[in-house]
Amino acid sequence: MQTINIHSMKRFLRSPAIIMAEIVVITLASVTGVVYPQAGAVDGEALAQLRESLPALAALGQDLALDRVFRSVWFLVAVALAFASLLVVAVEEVRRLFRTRFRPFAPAGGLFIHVGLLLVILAAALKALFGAEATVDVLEGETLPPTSAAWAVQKPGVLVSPLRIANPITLETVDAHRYRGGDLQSLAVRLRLAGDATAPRVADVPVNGSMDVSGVRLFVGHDYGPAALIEWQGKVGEPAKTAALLKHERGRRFEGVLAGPDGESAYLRGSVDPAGNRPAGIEVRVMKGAALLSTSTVRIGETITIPSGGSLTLHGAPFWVRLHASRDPELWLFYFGFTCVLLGVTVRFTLIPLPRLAAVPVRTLSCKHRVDARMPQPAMLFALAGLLGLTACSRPSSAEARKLVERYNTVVAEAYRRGDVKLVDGVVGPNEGKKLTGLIGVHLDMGLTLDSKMLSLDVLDAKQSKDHLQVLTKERWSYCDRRIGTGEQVGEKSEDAYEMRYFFKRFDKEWLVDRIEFATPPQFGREPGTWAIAHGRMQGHAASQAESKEAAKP
Amino acid sequence: MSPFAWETTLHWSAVALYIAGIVGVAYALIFDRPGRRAGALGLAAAGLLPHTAALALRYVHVGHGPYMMQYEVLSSNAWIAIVLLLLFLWRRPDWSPLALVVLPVSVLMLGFGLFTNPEARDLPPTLRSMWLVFHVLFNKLAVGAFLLSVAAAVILLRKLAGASSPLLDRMPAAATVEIYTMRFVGFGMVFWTTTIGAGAIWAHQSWGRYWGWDPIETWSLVTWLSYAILLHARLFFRVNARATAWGTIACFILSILTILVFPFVFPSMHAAYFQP
Repeated sequence: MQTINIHSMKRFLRSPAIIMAEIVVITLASVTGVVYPQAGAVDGEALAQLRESLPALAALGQDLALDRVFRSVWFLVAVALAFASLLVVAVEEVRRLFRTRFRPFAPAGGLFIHVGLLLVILAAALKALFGAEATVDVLEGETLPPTSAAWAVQKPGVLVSPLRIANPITLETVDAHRYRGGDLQSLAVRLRLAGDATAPRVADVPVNGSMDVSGVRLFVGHDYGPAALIEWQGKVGEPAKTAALLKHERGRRFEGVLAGPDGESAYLRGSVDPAGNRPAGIEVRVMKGAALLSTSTVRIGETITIPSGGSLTLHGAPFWVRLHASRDPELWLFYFGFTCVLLGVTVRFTLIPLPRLAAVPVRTLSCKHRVDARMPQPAMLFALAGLLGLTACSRPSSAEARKLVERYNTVVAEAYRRGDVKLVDGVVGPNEGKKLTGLIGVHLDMGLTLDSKMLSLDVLDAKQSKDHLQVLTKERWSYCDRRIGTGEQVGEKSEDAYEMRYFFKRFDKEWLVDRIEFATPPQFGREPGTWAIAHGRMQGHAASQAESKEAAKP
Repeated sequence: MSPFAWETTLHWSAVALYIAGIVGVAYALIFDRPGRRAGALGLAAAGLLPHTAALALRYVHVGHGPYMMQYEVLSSNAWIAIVLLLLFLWRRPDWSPLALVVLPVSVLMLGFGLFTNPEARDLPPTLRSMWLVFHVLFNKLAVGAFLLSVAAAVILLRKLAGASSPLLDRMPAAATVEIYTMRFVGFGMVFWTTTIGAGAIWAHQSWGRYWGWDPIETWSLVTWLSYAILLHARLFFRVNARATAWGTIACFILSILTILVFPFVFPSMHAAYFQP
């Protein structure tokens, strides 16, 4: 009885319909994994947006595990079934290989492919069970203790404990070079391993290189930057000493933010020099909520006093780097499996006369299969290709236009709030950038910052022509001006409403605002104050945009 | 003249020679002048000279291979496809109608590339790997082989539709054309598999894992699986030649979308390296 069941199971697993179904399901799962937003993907916001815009589809996706398709039960079952089919087919091919006298290549090709795929799937399973990964951000001169707790992020396999290195590791130096244009040219770190006679004591590890320590591979990606070692003394209490990691923003510029005492925070910016050396000083903007308290460039060893009562000292600006560690017990199995696949594909498709490839043992094909099975109609294939083409050529939707407008307004509002025009670099083109530089500068000269908040945004229209995108919006804003140093409100608060037209232009591959203009005259919620009269139309954010419009006229 | 002006001039000279080659091959085949065929293919081969010089100049100018900008990628893909075509026709002169599909598609690729942003970009440190060279080289070879398979599939469809002309009559029978279509698909599969393998090794080197379901990695797997579906369908279900030809064309479209379109559409770790 058992033998019969095993035979019927083997017949089932090697039947063409089942094998085809397995490949098709894995293919469709893969397509779903890239078309449907995935949790933890590079574009992490996409899933949240889907939940907001199409809740029914998002709920269905969640029920079917489409948002984590590669970890879903149905996908793993399909892979497990494929593994079983591959095993049965491979065994059958081994038998056939020994039965074949004069054509050893013909079955060998398929056998190599199928055994190779088996090994690759097995390697993936081993990685999931026994592999481990860990990541930590390390400062120059810092030593990692030989514990698993030393690593900030751990991803251990199901059957192993979190990763740890047996010996302390010190990051001695970070050596980075940049191109003239500011892009990273090379990055290497020097690691010192203490008290291990078998591993190298000191190793220079560049990007794409590694240091092996007792089966654990240590390597770096391209995440690095200067760290600001800051001692922050609040109005009362002990000073807090923190290393704020500045992350790459653009060109040679790095930025970060540090939470301080009394609800204050410091926005930090440092630039490496053209040779890639550490910054000599850090630009610091201290804010409390929406109020800008101080702005200055602090050199190493200097202390600045914050008007609210505290002080801030910069003790150093060493580099930090993101260090990765991984244990991959399956790696050679994966490479061996992949080599088998490659060998098999090569034998199968280049060394064997193709007519022979059509020969399939007749007993594995039922009569029904031979008579009824049909490939999808060409029209269906083209429909699929067309659908894929449509996906590739979609134009910005209203949601995308809204996202662009929101991004611009969020960044510009923050630039006004912090009095920091460099923030707008990533959202505006040269024309709009020049205008905003002038307008924010005028505010700073007056000792003021603008605190604005968008209350509502409706996208009324969006038109695109190749590299130009025009978006018409209806917006409502709340504005108030604050004095730098104290954050006190100057003049009245105002709620303004208007329709605005945004002219985006594609620079390189990014949509940036080229100019903006009012589509309908703004309705101001306050009377112009004394300072506003002195500076013409300087009426908050809306007026700044009006300035831009005026300046844009020929 | 600036290096870029030289590059552009050489590229357009290549386009002119390829177009002359297309016209020549079409004339020779349609009007049944076999004697003119070699000359026409010679023009296309001559086009490879300025094309090669343009790519070499680009390499010297930017200091890296054709990996980053669409301009470089498309131009080098077209170069490889034409080299593969001419090598095949050198051994199988009767198959010269393939040139009427491969050459125009290559010229379109090249022309489209010439209208994209040609700005030189510096190579990031993660791209400094020997595995990248294998990854890109075999990917281009795969595109060339798949393009040849599509050309054979188009000819196969014409033959199956009963079309007759001196051009088609010189070609082998439909059954042979079908076998060659599959042979080109097979070569493409070998190169595509190598592309994925070299990419996996490089990903392990740079990102610490050989496979991470990144969208572009996944699309390359989908392309590989689609060809696997085509081959298994032919093997198991003995699908007819017409369905094989259409399947080959559909898979080719998918492979081209994977290489040239999806990197710019789907947010991916690869996207940082591709520039339009």
